Parts: sequence; structure tokens; C-alpha cells
Amino acid sequence: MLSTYDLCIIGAGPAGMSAAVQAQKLGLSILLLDRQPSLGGQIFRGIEQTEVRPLGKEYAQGQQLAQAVRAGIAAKGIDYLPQSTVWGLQLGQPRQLGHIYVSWQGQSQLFFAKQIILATGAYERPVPIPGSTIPGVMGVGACDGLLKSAGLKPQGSVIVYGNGPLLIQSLQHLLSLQVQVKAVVFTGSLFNLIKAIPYTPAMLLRPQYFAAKSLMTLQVLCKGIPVYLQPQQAKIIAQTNSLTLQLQTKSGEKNLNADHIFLHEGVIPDTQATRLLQCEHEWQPTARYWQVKTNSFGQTNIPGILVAGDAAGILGGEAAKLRGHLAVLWAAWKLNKINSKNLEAQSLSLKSKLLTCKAGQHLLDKVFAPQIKAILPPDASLVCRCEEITAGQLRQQIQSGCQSSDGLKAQTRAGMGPCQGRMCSLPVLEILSAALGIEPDQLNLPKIQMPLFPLPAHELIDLPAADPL
Amino acid sequence: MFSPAFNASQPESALVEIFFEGESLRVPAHFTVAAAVLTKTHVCRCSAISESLRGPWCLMGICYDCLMEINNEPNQQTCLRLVEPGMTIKRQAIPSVTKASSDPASSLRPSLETPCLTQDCEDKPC
Repeated sequence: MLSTYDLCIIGAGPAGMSAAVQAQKLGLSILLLDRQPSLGGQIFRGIEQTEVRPLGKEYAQGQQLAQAVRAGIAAKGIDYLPQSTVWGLQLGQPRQLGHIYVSWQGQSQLFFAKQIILATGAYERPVPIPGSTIPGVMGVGACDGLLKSAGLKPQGSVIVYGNGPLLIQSLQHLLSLQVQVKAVVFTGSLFNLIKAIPYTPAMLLRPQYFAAKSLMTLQVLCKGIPVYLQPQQAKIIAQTNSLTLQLQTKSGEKNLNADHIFLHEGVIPDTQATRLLQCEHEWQPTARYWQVKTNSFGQTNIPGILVAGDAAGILGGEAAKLRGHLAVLWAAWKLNKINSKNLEAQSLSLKSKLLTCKAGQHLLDKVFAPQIKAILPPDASLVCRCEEITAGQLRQQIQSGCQSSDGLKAQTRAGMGPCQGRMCSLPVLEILSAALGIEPDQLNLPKIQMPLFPLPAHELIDLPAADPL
Repeated sequence: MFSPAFNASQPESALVEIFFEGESLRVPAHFTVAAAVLTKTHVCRCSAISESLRGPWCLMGICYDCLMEINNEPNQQTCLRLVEPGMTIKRQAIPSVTKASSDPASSLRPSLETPCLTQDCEDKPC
């Protein structure tokens, strides 16, 4: 292990893995950090647990990438720390090196890097309907992740609730494993299908991808599972042996029972690290999330800080690989490993491929646009799961004059628990925006401070003094 | 609860023995603690404020709802920790659910009728 690296990559999903492989080819010294026990991130979760699984061609492609990273690690070209948590990032003296504070195996240490690629990915948008904290209620992505990483499927019956491409993919996985899906509740808008028509030519750019997705949707529809559209209200109630999803629909109240309820409203970029570094961000009005502003290579407005993959806006796994590669080219150019001619030449084909991914994502964003009604929690919802603050409590504070996320945090403690606002900051923003009648781009997410993840105090006390070499 | 999705049988040597609330569990070595626990129950802890029951939510290290006690150390993110031979895993501050509570969630499921095994909450309501 070194103390100073040319490049530190945070996150070993498709973007991080692709970046590591490409950086090794360019002869950079690389530190690859990841919180998971094995390579793959979320899309390729569990990709190294060799048994071939019926998770589709797209998933299997991750195997090649993981093997290439492993080869790099074996050749000592990549220093990889699995199960390591980056809890601090700073730019500082000497020589404007990136300071990376990492907790690994019960100890914290400080690494330095000339360039940092944040490939921290995305996570599921929290769906705080009343009762969503009851055990047995989980994210759709969590259920899919469990299938990928441990080969586990839900036992008993299942209700899938929400909106988004991942919801359909996960449904297909569940059906192919003969899981009893009792009902599907779709909170998106069918009207969006019409609004998305102008974007459909994008399907021609990635015909295989969209053919597979459409087929998937048809397969799900053909199974004859009851589908409920756009409930006015939803609520989960715990029964002795099962869960009840109570829906208020136009035709009255409907009670659905199942052993598991999986919720999903799309995925959102992890902006915790870029907000800590005070990079510039922008609001995405259709997909409804904040994302970091970057140039076409992933360079943020702060020199030395690059973002690749879904952490810089949701574009999917295929695009993440391209974005990892592009970020490395920029970093290598900054480190004088390639000249500007090479930078242009090598990035050209990557950028054009990325454009097709973007066109496809525009279409998906339109079709699966989250509906305000579905993501705006009713008063009874627990919005901050850690500090247990309801939407009603937040609205009360707003009525008494609180007009910012940071203000609500100070007044109610929403966002001060161990997850540090990852689960509540977006719903809080939506509540605030709806209550004040202004768009979220006029509001800010709460400020982020170190540590990015809770850590034992002794790790801070024992933090060894380190000198960059 | 969750059960194996594929028929790939694991050789006995590839399994790791862990102890969940004193009960022996044999699971594949690539399982996280949360995955192992989810084959038995959804409930992993009591929430800190209202003491209502919680289970893993995101399984990717974001939500901190899967915190449990591992080898007597509380507040461990079980979705990020791999199982290790001999590991002892306990639910965190589960109240003795038999006590009548106004919280509807505490009468959730039969699997929750396990009495509290955390020593330090025997004498005080937790």
C-alpha cells in the first residue's frame, strides 16, 4: 500500500471497475475503495459468486469486468480495499492533494490522491408511505440485491408497489423464480406513455436493450397479476402473520394481503460526497433529484474531483462503464500521462456511445417520471426513519415559518440520525417545495459534514498522522 | 422471510456456522449477516425513539435499519458484514414483546414472540 496515489476511485460498481481497469492500462497508481465485500456495486452485485444465475445477459456482462479488475489486483496494478468506508474527503495542502479518510478493518487511515473519481452510484428513492418502516417492507432494489448477492428469494406472497424500470426488472426476476406476486401497484402515470412518444426514436439507437425491456414488460402483464393504477392513498398495516396494503382507489378502498411488500420510486444519485466537497449541483425536474454538475468527462467544478456513473445522474450500468473510462482519460490528461490530442481521440467513440445511452434514459425518465402525488408523503408517514419524524411534524414547522432543509433539520432533527439524511433529505425537500409552492431548485439540500458515515470515536482519536509521499 | 432461489447445493464445507439469538445457522460464506438473518426473520432491532420493530430496508449500507449486535458489539451494519465462523448475532434492544404495548407493530408477528435476550434491558423497559 502507498500513502499517495495518482488516482483514488471510490466505489467498485460498473463505473469504478471500468475506471480501475482503464487507469491501469495508462499506468496510473490506483487505490480502489468500496463498502461492499466484493466487486460489482449494485447492478453487478454478487457477480463474483461464480454460480451461473438466471439473471439475464446484461448481468452476466459484469463478470468480464470483475475479472479484469481481479487481474489488475493480482498484477499489483490496483490496490483494492473491500469493506472500506470513505468517511471524509478534503482538498488541501500540500500540492492540493485529495485527502481521503478511510475506515477499514476497525481502523481509520488517511490516503492522498492527485485525482479522485467518485463512483458512489445511486440508491433507491425512499418511499415514505405510512407503515413503510414495518419489518417485511423493503425496497425493490433490496430484494433484487439479495437475489444477486445471496441467491435468496422472498418466501410466501409479495406485493410490488411503485414505479420505475427497476420495478419491472425485479418483477420479472420474481416471476421467473415462481414467487407468488399477489398484486402490482403502479404509481406512475399512463399519460406519461403518451408524453414519451416524441422520445421513442431513442429505442432505435439501442434496439436490443429496448426490445428486451418491452418483452419483459409484456411478460409481466401476461401473467394475469392484478394491477392497480395510481392509488390516491396507500398505507401498510402490520397483521399478526402478514402485511396489509390498504389502497384508496377511485372505486373505493382495497385491502391486499401479502408476506412481503416491496416499494420503489426509481433511483437517485448519491450526492453525499459531492455535497461535502461543495461541488455545484443542479435539479433534474423530470426525474426529481439533485445531481452534480460535470463536464462531458465527469470533471466537477472542483479540480481533481471527478464523478463517474450514476452518482453523476442516472444513466444506467452500460453508461457507467463509459463514464468511468472517460473520467480516467481526463484524470490521465491532468496527470500528463496522455496529451490533449489523445484525450480527444480516445474519448470520441466513448462520448458517442454515451449519447445513445442518454437518449434512452430520456425516454425512460419520461415514461417512469415520479408523480408528485406518489412521492409526497401524507402527514402520518415517518419521513426521517432514524429520528422518527413524520411528514405532519415537518409541515407544522414549515407553517411556523421554517423555510429550508437545514432549518427543518435544526428544528426537528430530521436528517440527524445514523443514515445522515440519505433516507429523508429528498422527501423533506419535496414536502418543503410543495408547502411553499416553489420548485426544489430554489431550495437546497442540507449541508453535509464529515464524517460521511458514523464511525466509532476511537477511530478518530487513533487516526495516525500521515505524510504524503 | 427469504429462502434459497436456486437449487445449487452448497457443499457442507462451504458453509459457515453462526449463532443467531443462540440458534445455530449454517449459511454460505458469501452471505452477509443481514442475508443470513433474513432467512429466519424480518426483525433485527427496535428503533431508538419509539421502540418500534425494524428490519433491513435497503441492504446496501444506506439506511442503517439493519443494525444488530455482532460478537457483543452493538450498532453493526449487518448488510455490509460477511458471516464469519462462530459469529454471534443478536437483535438490538428487542423489548419483551409479550408486554402489552400501544404500539401496534410490537404485536407484529409470531416470530417476534422471542423474549429479549439482551441482558441489559431485562430490568428496564426497552
